[in-house]
Formats: sequence, structure tokens, C-alpha cells
Amino acid sequence: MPSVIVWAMAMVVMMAESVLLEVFAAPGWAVQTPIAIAIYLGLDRDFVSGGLILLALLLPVEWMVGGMYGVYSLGLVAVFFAMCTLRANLQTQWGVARAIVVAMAVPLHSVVMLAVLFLAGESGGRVTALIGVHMWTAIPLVVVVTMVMGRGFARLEKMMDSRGGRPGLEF
Amino acid sequence: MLEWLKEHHGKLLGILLVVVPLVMVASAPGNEVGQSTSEPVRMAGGAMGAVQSGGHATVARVGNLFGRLGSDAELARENEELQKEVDRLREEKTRLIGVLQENARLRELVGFQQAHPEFELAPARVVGRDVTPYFRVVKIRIETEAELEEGMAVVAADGVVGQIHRVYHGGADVVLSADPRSRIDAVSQRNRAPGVVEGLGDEANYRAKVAYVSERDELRVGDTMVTSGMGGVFPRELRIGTVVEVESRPGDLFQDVVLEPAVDFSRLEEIFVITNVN
Repeated sequence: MPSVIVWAMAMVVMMAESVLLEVFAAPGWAVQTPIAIAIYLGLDRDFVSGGLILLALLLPVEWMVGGMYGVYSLGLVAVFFAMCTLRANLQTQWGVARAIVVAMAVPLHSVVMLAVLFLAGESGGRVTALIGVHMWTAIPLVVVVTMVMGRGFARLEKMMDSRGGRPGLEF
Repeated sequence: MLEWLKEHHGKLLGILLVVVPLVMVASAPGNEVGQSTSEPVRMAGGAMGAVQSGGHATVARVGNLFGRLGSDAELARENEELQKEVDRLREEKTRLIGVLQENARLRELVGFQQAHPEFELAPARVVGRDVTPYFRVVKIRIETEAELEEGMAVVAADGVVGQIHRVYHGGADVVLSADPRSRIDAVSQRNRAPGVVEGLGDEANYRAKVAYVSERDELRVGDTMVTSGMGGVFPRELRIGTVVEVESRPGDLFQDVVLEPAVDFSRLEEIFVITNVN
């Protein structure tokens, strides 16, 4: 699937989360789609195309987050690198093994955020405590969202990629 | 040069992925609310705000459509003529209820403006929320040509909403009083006991705590906390919320006070930015 389409779909997913949270007024149900997207890019795309898409998503992500610029993004980059490293040793389908890796990616993202905040001298206060709390509570939601989104994207990729004699759409 | 780039593009991309967020961190004004936003960020945010505003309208329309489909299924047992009539009347009623509710909200806002003629208010509409569980930020689209600035106070008819965190072209991010970064200087309306309202960032609700309330000050459940006017962001006497829990322990300097905000943040639609106080 072309990188531009993946980028556009990632934008749609993030925008949809923001708008749905507003329309249905559910503050505690932020599912952190940017983390799910970084995991998908790390596990299902090659390093260059995944990295380029992630690079193009960093500023929009920061806009969506509304926190201190760069902190959330650095966490996503760390997750992406970790997923790229693990990819070769994982099953290719979105199954249990990937779910376990996704569950580990959420605390990794939070730890990187905490480290950056600490190094930037912004570690005090309730934001840090909340990141520490959500390091664990966000895991189930992010796992579910990543698995659903990963499977959806993988299916779409199969539809668009007609290699291997499969019938499919061609662009 | 091109050969070198082709050979090392993976490494370059890896470096860029680390450097770009680091530059953002280094150039960010900090985690505090109300610090200035750079022009490139304003422009990028303006474009995204316009897209999100369109998305908000579309999702709201789709939500209405689902609501109508549910009604149709419920009415399937009735005959076709009556069903059409009921559908038409229901749709009309829903639309009228929406108009009446909006009318009531606007009346409240007009009432707020009449009660505070000293404020110059710029109306705005909420179009989105942040996508993390850490912050409580809403994204607004401004409906006039008013110039917004970081740190401006944002209010609704019921009281304080929060303050502007980042400004974009045509919109802004508003940090709610429930955000863990929010600090509002407050006093009790009943006995002027001072404190600082700090957001808790709770997952289930929008409550805040009132910090630094001395053990000697008597606060009761049901007391209303209003802005003190100190700090230069919020004018005096704007309602922040109602005290719902007070706990004092012997030997402590301060009481633990929890506040329910006056504004229902889960139903925010129209809000006002205070652009000037005369």
C-alpha cells in the first residue's frame, strides 16, 4: 500500500478519535491511536517507508496531544524503533505474539515520555504522575485498538497489493 | 551526493526521527499553560483545525443518521403511511429540540454577557479533544475576527472553562480547569477562604482539587469557589465550581478539598474567550 495512503489513513484515524471523544464526550476513553499507528508502522512497514510516514505524522500528533511539544513524539519514535527491532522475530499475523509486544510498547512509550520530561526539567507535578498511572491502565485499550487497526490495515494492504496472483484492486 | 544519500538514507531517516522531536522539545516553551506559540505551529494548527471542524460536523451528522435508523427499526411494525408520518414528525421534533437547546444555551451566554458588560467576549465552538489520557484539552474554532492570545481566559455561561494554551489561525487549544497543568487562583464565595484550583486529570470525571486551603479556613461541602482575580488571567468573581469533599487531618497544614466544576465539560459546545476587560 502506498505510503501516502497509509499516512492519510493514519490522519483519519487520529482525527476520528479526537472528534469522537468530543462528540460522545468521553474523556477517559482516549485510546491513544498514535501509539497504535507507530506500532503498526514498526511491525508491518519496512524501516524507510514506516519511518517516513511517522516523520510526517509527528507534528499532527503533537497538535492532537496538546502537551509539551516533542515529548509524546519521542515516545512514538522509541516504540517504532523497538517494533522494527522485534519485527524479524515475530509472527507476521496480528495474533497473540503481537498482542504481547503491543502490551509492552505502551509502558515503553510512557517511560520514554517520563525520561524526556525529567531531562527537560519538567518532571514535577501531576502530569508525571498521570503518565505513570496510565502506563498500565492504557494497555488493554491500546492492545485492542492496535490489533483491530493492524488487522484492518493488513487486510486493506492485501486488497491493494495484487502480487501473488490474488485478485485485487490496482492503483 | 545523491549516491551517498541513497546509500545512507536509512541512517539519515533514523537520525531525523530522533532529531525532529528533540528540536521540538528544545524549542517548546515548556509544560506551563499560556506560553507563546511559534508562527509555523500556528499555521499548521490552523489547517488541521479547519479539517477537524469539518470532521466534527460530519460525525455529528452520521450520529443523527444512526439515531434515525434506530427509530425506523422500532417503527417497522406500524403501517407504511403512519411510519412515514411518524418519521417526519420525529425528525422535525429532533431538529426543533436541537434548535431550542441551542437557543437556550445562547440565551444563557447572552445573559452572561449582560451580567458582565465589562468583558469583551469572542464566541467560539468546540470541535475536538486531545487524544491522550494525560491532558484535558479542547480544540476550539473562533467565530469572529478577534485576535486570540495564549493565556486568555475562556468561560461558558456557568463559569470558568479554562485558558488558552496554544493559538492557531482560526482556533486554539484550551486547557480545561480539570487539566493537571491548570492552576487558578480562587476564593470561597462564602467566606473568602483562598486556595488554588488545580486540575486532577481524573479519567472518570473533570474534578479538580483546591490546594493550599489553610486548616484555619472553614470550607464546607456545597461552598462555591470563584476566581480571586489574582494572577492576571481570570477576572474576579467567575464561578469555578462547588466543593464536594473536604478532609482535614490533624497536624496537616492544608485541607484536602475536591471541587466539581461549575461547567459541564462533557457537554461543552459554545464558549466565550475573554479578549479584553474594560
